[in-house]
Amino acid sequence: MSKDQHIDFIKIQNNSITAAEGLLFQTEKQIDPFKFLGDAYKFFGITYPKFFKMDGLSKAGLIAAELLSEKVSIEKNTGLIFSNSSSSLDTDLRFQDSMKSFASPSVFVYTLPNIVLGEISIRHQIQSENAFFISEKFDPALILDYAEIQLKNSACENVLCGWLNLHNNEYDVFLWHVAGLEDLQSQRGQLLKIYATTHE
Amino acid sequence: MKTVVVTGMGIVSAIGSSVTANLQSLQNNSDGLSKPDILQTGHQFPVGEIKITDAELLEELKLTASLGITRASLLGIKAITEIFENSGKLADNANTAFVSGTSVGGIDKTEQYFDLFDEKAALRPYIQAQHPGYTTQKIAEYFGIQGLVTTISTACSSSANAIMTGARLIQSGRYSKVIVGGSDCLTKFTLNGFNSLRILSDEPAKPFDRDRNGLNLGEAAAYLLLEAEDATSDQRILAKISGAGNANDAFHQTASSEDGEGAFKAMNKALKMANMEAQNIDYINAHGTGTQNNDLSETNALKRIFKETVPKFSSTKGFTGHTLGAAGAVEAIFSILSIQEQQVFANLNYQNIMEDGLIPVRENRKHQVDHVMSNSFGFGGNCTSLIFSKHE
Amino acid sequence: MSDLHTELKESIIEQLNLEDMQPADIENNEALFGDGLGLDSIDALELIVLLEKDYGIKLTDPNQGKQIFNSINTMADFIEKHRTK
Repeated sequence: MSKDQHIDFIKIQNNSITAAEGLLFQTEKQIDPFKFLGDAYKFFGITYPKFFKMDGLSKAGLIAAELLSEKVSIEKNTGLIFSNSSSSLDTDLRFQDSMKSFASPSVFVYTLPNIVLGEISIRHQIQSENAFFISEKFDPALILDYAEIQLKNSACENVLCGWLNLHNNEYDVFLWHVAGLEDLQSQRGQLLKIYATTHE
Repeated sequence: MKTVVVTGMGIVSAIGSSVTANLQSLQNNSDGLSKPDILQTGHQFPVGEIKITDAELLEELKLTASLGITRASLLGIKAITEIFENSGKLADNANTAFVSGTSVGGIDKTEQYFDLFDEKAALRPYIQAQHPGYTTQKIAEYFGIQGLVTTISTACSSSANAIMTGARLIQSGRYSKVIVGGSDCLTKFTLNGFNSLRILSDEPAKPFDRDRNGLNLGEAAAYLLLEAEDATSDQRILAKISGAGNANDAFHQTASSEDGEGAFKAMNKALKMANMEAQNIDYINAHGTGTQNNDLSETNALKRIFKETVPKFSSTKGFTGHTLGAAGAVEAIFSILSIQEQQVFANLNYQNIMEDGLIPVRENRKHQVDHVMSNSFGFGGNCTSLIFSKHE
Repeated sequence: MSDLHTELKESIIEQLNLEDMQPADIENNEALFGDGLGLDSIDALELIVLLEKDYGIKLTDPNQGKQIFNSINTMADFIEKHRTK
């Protein structure tokens, strides 16, 4: 890895949270995914009043963005480009379930994948460009291409990119930061490798 | 950067199954609202429902139910077919990209068949239908699109963002042809959801009116063919995309900030990209859902951008209902029709000015229209503003 | 404190996901919104559902909620008067 450019990232997979420097947080495997995220939130001492009212995607995205923001600057001109394959399916099913008795407004609010972008924007006061793509699998080329267009258009000054999937109670979260156009070129080719590396 | 032009459009909405039919309804002030008829629901809210059943759509498009095609896909295919019959350019499918916006995707089919999956094997293809990329994929397969195929899901600004993304793929030289737009159908899911948020009106919506009390849901599919101006062989350029801006309101999960900061920023960015001053805009197709919150926030944002001289503006959601993920593309087409016809369309059901409010266009009328702004704002604070211009 | 007051606090904590809160942490006359418990507009909608689900009360005008959901006391008074179950 020594010749590779440093990339600031946060990964949430298999009940553990990792960053470039290694493991940050881990729990036993059997733990409920929502409990896992709640424990992580408390462990890192994050304070966001809505946290326990949010859906799983938003909880995971908020924690990952918070941890990244300790290392890189996430501010009002940071663009957000996120992507996943299962949209808000987990929450959609919860809402459909609530429809059998009384449709729950607080669940319905989260039946869109881009609400997490709203939560991160509120938390970090970002009023820059947001995009959420649905792709079959993690496709760094699509995200980096779009980040490049955004940066070249001066739509934003740096970009928080992410793959943020929650399906069948399994989290697959990978957020990383693009500081500028130069950064972006050096990241091509590296991201899939980092994403696929597991830290046990 | 390359110039992006619109060379084809197709639409199916509650006010018509073609661009021409939609234009006629707009010109005749004829709305498409009714009680739900095809959607099986106990709710009696007025909706903008397309009175064509899935079976009729399948027959018209020569498709069979066993392929597991959702209503949103069927409507999307029908809309895109109109583009190609008019401009006959399906040939270049290898180099055409497809960017589609949707908010509910195929939820209609999973809610309809959920209890039947065990007994009826024929319905099982629909199990995957709730996967949101599925609706886009089925449309792409039908037309054999081999370029980039992707879905954008940013709530009610989804298809406006699809248009912005498609335009950028062309500007940056990655593609010279992109089909952009969106499709969303009525579902019990959204009807129950918006009802739980208490923002459905039990009468036709009254955008920007003092006594507005909520929105009507609608369904539609609308798509545009975007091309690089220097690469198109089409003699019939309908309009130019001169600006697009997106910003986050960073205020609340579903509500807009009172001063409309996100909307203000999106409109500002679109004007900047178009290299225009606010006074260059001749007409605004507003987001104007008819909820207390949106219309107040949008009014304040319009006043901040346009100051004392707000151009003619209207919400056309009184015609179609709020078609969610499809709304941005539906209203992009209405905006281009406004340029073509040199006409602005009525904001139906408006009667009384709200406090410190603005008065929208009340009757459709002839008007010089060179530049139109189209606004689409979504939950999650996602605000998009597009500018379409007459092509000289 | 009546059973209804405690019951309401328990269901509010559960329905609105008020993590790590106990019924005793909520005062009967404490403001539920704004500076008090800090609930927001979506919580208010969820309370409307709670009234219907647990007490058979249908609010037709969501604006009514503002007074009813002022505090646990105002909620309990309203429920006592209008409950159908």
